[in-house]
Amino acid sequence: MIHVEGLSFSYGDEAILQQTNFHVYPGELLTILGPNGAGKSTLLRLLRGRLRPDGGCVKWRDGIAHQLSRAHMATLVAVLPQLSAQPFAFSVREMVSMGCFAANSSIWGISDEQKAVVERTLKQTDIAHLANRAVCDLSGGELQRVLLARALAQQTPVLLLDEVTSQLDLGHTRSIAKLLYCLCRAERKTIIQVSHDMELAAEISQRILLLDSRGETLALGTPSQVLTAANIAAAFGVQVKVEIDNNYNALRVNPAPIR
Amino acid sequence: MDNVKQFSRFSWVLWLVFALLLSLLIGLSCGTVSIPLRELLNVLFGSASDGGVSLNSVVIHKIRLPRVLFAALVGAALSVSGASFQAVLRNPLADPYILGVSGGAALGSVVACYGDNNTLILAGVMVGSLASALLLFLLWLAPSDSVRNAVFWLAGNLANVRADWLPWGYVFSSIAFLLLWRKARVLDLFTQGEDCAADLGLDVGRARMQVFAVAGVLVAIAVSMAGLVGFVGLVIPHVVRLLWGPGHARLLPASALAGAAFLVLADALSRTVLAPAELPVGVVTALIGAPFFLYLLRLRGQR
Repeated sequence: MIHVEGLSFSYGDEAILQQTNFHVYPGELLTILGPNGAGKSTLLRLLRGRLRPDGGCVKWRDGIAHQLSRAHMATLVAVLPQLSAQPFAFSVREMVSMGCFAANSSIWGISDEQKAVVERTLKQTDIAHLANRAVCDLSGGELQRVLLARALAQQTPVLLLDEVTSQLDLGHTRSIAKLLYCLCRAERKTIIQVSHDMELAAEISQRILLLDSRGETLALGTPSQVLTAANIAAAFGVQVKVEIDNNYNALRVNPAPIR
Repeated sequence: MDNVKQFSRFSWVLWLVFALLLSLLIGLSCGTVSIPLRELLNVLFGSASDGGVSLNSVVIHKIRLPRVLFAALVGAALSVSGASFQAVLRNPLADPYILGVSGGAALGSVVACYGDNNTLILAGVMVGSLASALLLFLLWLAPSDSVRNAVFWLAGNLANVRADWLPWGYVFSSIAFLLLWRKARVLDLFTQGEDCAADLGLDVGRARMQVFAVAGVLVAIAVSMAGLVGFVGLVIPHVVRLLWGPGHARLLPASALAGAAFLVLADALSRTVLAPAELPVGVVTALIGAPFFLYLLRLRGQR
């Protein structure tokens, strides 16, 4: 689906990524983990061609990421951004409809088919009852769903997410995570997310890419391969115990207590 | 049922056209000499009954009609460009003059190719202050009569109607309006921030340059003919957004109509309060607009 080959990038003298190589397979959920400043968000920007790499490249089926036009790229990949303030009071339905711009930027508005897509997406993300509400009156959890709905309305094979659950409470985090898991399994969406939540990543991801603080790849593989005490100590400098919770068949990362 | 829905979707057009017509009638009838409505309609639409040309007929056709059409044009141009700038700068409280006065708007659109919005606004402020320094220098040089004229212009004023320019003003403004209206969905995307807009498939740099250039032309048309009429471009789009939502397919035409109606009324007021003397219309719009702006800022602070 996406081939990252010898990717290097630096801001000025500061190298962010060096010689990064990996493939993303269609229909997988890949989580990128790593300490702050490891270049995770930069990697997401490079993947969608928003930055020009210093070395190597990101190959999509249709071409090299930073050479594709924005309009073309927006038909391949949708981005779910971190929450930001909404100064303009668009309705939820109008907001989700903006996702249709890439496929059809006609001055006469979106087609009936796309309207149907918007309605379906509203239902899928469980915000149909909010359709006529203004986005500036929504809670963080609701707004994140609206942004997810907009990304889905773009109808792209790939979805990129940048710490989308970091500002949400446990309930909203779980429901968004479940939705992502279902999108991946049921609709074969390819999802690449940046996250700090290791346990959640282990629960829903097929694979995890762990970067260290210099942006070098520490490990890439299944959650149980990557999330070992040694790898986590190397990436974050924290001593942890990694255990399997037999009740839920889930991986638990327990840091050494502070006191 | 469907018809009712259709009607409510387009009811804003009816309201605004009605408001505009009403304000045009008020603008035609108010002034140093007040002309009653019946006579006004008679002069406009009736046949000339007394054979000759009445004084009122001359006043209406030669003075007031160009004047109200002029006010409508300036009000519409400022409101539409204000709405566009607010979208691209992602700031509902931006003013069309934010890029520095007229010349600054043109320069700003060139700068827009290189920098982000903050640099653009800073550049606007710089161009603006450079322009005001030049202006003060010129005022200092000028004989007292021209100073008075210049001050009048700076305050924004509709007294210098050039009836022969008016059709050209309408033609160019209409073209600029249509170009911006075509970009309604693009302006919608801009409100999401440039980063999001790019991810939604917009070539942000190019689109921003196009919008700034066209909206800059609109501001330039208004400024070159009427001086600095403040607050129209800021307040009108804001009110329209509160009433009918922020979608630009509706916001732009609604702002044009509302801005036209508002400036025609403000102009009528400026001609009557101190008649036979005339206030610069910019004073009237500022007296209405500034308190409203403060109210909006407070409203925002509470959020």
